[in-house]
Amino acid sequence: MKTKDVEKKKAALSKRFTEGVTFELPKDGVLEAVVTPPQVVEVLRTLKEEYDFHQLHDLTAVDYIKDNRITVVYRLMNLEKPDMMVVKAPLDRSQPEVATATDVYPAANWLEREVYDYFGVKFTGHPNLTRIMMWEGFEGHPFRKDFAAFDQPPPDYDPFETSYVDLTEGPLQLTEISGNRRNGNAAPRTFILNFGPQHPSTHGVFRAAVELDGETIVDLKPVIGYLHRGLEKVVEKRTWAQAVPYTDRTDYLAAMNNNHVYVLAVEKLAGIEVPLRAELIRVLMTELNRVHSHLMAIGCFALDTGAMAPFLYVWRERETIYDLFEMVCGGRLLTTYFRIGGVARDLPEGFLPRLKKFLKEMPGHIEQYNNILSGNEIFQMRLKKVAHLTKEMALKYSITGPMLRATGINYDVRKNDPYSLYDQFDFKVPLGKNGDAWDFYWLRVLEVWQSLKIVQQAVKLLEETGPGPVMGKVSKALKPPPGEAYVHIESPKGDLGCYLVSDGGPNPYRFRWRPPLFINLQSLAEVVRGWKIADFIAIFAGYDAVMGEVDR
Amino acid sequence: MEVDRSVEKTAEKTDAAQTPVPGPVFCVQDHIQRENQAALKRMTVQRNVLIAPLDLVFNWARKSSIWPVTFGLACCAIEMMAGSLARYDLDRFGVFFRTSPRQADLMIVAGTLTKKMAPTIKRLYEQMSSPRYVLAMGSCAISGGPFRDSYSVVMGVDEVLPVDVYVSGCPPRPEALIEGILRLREKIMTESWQVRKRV
Amino acid sequence: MLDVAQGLNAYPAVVDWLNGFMPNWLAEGLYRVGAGLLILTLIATLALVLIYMLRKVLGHMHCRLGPRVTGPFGLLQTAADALKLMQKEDIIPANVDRFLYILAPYLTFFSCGMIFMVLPLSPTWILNDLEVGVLFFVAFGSLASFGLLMGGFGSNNKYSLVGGMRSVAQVVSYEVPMVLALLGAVMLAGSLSTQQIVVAQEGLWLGFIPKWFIFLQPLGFVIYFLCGLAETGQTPFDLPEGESEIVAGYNTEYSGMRFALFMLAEFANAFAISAMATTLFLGGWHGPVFSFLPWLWPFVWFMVKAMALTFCMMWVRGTWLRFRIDQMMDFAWKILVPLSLLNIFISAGEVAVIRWIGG
Repeated sequence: MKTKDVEKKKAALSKRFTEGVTFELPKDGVLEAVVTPPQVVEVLRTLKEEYDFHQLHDLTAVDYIKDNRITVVYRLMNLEKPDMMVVKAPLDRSQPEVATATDVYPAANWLEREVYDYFGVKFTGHPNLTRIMMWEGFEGHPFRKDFAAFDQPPPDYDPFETSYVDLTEGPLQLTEISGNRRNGNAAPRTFILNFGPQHPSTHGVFRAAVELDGETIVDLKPVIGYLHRGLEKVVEKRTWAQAVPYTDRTDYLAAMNNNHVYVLAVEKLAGIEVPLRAELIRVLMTELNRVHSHLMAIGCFALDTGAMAPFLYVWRERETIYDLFEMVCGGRLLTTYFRIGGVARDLPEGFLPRLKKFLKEMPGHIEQYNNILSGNEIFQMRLKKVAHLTKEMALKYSITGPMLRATGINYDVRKNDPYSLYDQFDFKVPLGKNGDAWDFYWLRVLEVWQSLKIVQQAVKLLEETGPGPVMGKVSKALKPPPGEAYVHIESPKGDLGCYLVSDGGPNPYRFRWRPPLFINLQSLAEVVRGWKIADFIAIFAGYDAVMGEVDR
Repeated sequence: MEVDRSVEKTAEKTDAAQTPVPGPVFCVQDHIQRENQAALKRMTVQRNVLIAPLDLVFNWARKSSIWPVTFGLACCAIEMMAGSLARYDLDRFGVFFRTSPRQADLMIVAGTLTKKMAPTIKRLYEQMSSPRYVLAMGSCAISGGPFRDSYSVVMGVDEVLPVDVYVSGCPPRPEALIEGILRLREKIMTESWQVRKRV
Repeated sequence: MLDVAQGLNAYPAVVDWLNGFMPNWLAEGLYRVGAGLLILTLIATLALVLIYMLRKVLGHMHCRLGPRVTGPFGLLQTAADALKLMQKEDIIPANVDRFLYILAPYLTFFSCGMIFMVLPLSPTWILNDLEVGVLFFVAFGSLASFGLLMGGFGSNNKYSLVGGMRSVAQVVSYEVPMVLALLGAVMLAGSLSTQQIVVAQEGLWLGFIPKWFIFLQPLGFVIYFLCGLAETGQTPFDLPEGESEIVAGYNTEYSGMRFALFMLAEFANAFAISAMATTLFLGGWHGPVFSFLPWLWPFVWFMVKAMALTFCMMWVRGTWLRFRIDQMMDFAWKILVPLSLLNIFISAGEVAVIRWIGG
């Protein structure tokens, strides 16, 4: 978006809203509106309907304890242009209250619950304003600055005591859906089945209470928060550099991508220059990581539909990628390779030949997956025409990543809002048509091809540019100037964002992770309603959920 | 080339980056020898001709067929999977993942245990049939790890469950998990059928 | 032909021999107890071998090695598993339907044991050559699903219930094409006795093609084998215990020996289906007999054929994936049933042609 256009828009908006709304234009070119609480919904609605900000990109809050206010931050997105806009609503800290945005953006549902859970902001009119990460009965709101979040006393569990304290949600209240009942029998013909938190194919500790009519899913209620580790809060106690390992542990299948978004955000905040070689290595690593994350997704599709062998085959290649990661940083899964201002060390000798060998072998391996899995007719029967994610639904729930592209919407941050060096690489964004489980699967296979293509180009560029420094100039005790920065990248799971607020101190004042999976998962109930249990498992594999990111 | 592996002792011996061979064979045999020695020691110390050979056979059966429950919490679960898959293949030791806790012997707590999850994990443990074992995998399961000072994390799974083996690392490499399971085998070999308690 | 047919049934020979030195009732009783023990031993041994084989076969298909630490080449792995399962705590959860819960594994195991009674392992090794052997096999094959339903219903667990329901739906649907596919072989042999069916497959066509019914009934064999996969709950029909969907299906709540019984029954059933396919379509124990231990060779050929089919089942398990429940039902009723009806017409034609040629 050009600065001129933004200024034009700012002028138009300033004319439209005269009272209670001020518009600012920070240097990163994202228009900001500071709105008084009563006007929030109106402003959001106008922006959505008249200015085409049809996606609620993110919704979070920051606790400014010194100013005695909690600011709710709405981040809106126009996927076509792309264009971003921030709406901020400063609330009174002692009684934070604002009208819900769920009527305008249904995706605000879980995000508002999260803000309520973390900050105690009351969203009036919200359909179900309950805690989402913590359990009901938890005292206080952990992300408030005055909450004694750290060094909590250990819980008084007696390991040998058999009595069982239930901290989880109480009896499940599933909404009655009348449309799906086949014959208008008054007698209940449904029962509730609990998937998870311990279930072989919930990919971690996800829990879904499913109301079943025989094998057909009548309704579903996702319950999350079983892996809520307070990561964003813990990071507030660490220094800027110490936060890098924590980013690994959100989406633990895409550690490099997580590192990338965080270091990009800090570099933007502190104005750090990164050497070209370091940035090239970063691109190479993130794309390799995308390959291994997508391979895992492909394998999970196989495993969840009942085939064991393809899962082991993809792991064979994943182990090769792990070896490559191990060569550069010593870690396999959680790499912590990127540093603020560059990468931890240069590529070791022998890395590029090994990588080239891998790149040469990989097409044959993908061919093998296609032979054993994609070409299997049962597999196609299981996935094709299963689930129907429409463009409207995808926008309504702010879905991003391969699932969004499966509906046919061409949105890839690497193309639409290029960061790092992605504008220099030649690759395509594969698109789906039907938004069914098969598209979710097949897009990932195609994206693996594209990522390999990028890696190849990166290798070529690395060899052309030759050796050079891999670390920029960064002071040991980094203290970025007060302010905030938002960077979003295309992680394998979707549009991953990192929102940092600095108060000029040695630690992040607020560390917000825009979790694509958490936001995507909201749509689960609507997508799987009316399908069979087995379909639910296949569709859920399409979300490629990693609970570390959902719950953080 | 320089490969950083400060955590892993066994892996130092071979350069995994160049020879992607799983845990060295001599290491495994070493362990089995140690297991057998422990058992023999038991036999001689206990001097109960009737019980000791029974123990030997029963313990051998239990150590050779450890079935963990398919249960992962967080990042370490991925490495646990890696351990059971192609390159590391825990199935060599008869480790065979069962989905139902009723049929499992071992719970590998792989990942961060949160306070919200703690009751569930306890219930899961209670659903397992004894003799049952718990392996805490990774620093989160041992002590809370990097999230130790968080408001929602249990500081180690031993706050909730009796843990038999701790495997350190964040996350531990699959070799470390294999070593942990070999240690568990050693522990099982020293048990006695006579005094085994139901926990 | 005749000398083979004389010793078709082990029962009269053994009882006659026993009658020589004990009263008749004791001989009869001893025969029955002995036969039961023999079946138990056979099933247990088979299951041990098959589970080891499965783990090895799947291991190699998965680019890994499978068990290899326990005993030489991991051969003692399943023995250790069995011994361990015996030591495990036997949990009967609260609120289960105790009667059904306890009875279920035994019923499943019993029904699969009964199938072994009519398997003609060699010309003389058949425990009871019933006149209605095939019918007996079909009846007890479907009785196993009662065990699964009882286990699923009695466990008071929703996963188990779904698993049990799936199992019944599956067995009931696949029973139909299976029986219709069997009919082809029965029509060709003109008998329901398993031993007679094997005897009917003796000889060669044109001097080199064995007179196995698979060459006359390729369609029937394929339908039977697919239904057999469904009947025993193997991939792609492993819905009753679909791990990724309903945890462990009907046996979710079972632990220790009760679970072991289910597992034994599952593997023994897989073998029984393969053995029955061998009997009906692959010429049973027919094969070259050498002068060295001539009584053993038929048994060896029978086992080789049955094991090869079991290996095919494992192969399918290693490569294919699971149907969805409605797709599975569609497959049974819309594809297999019409095809098996067609197969009956084909076999009727074949019978007519054979009679016309053979006079």
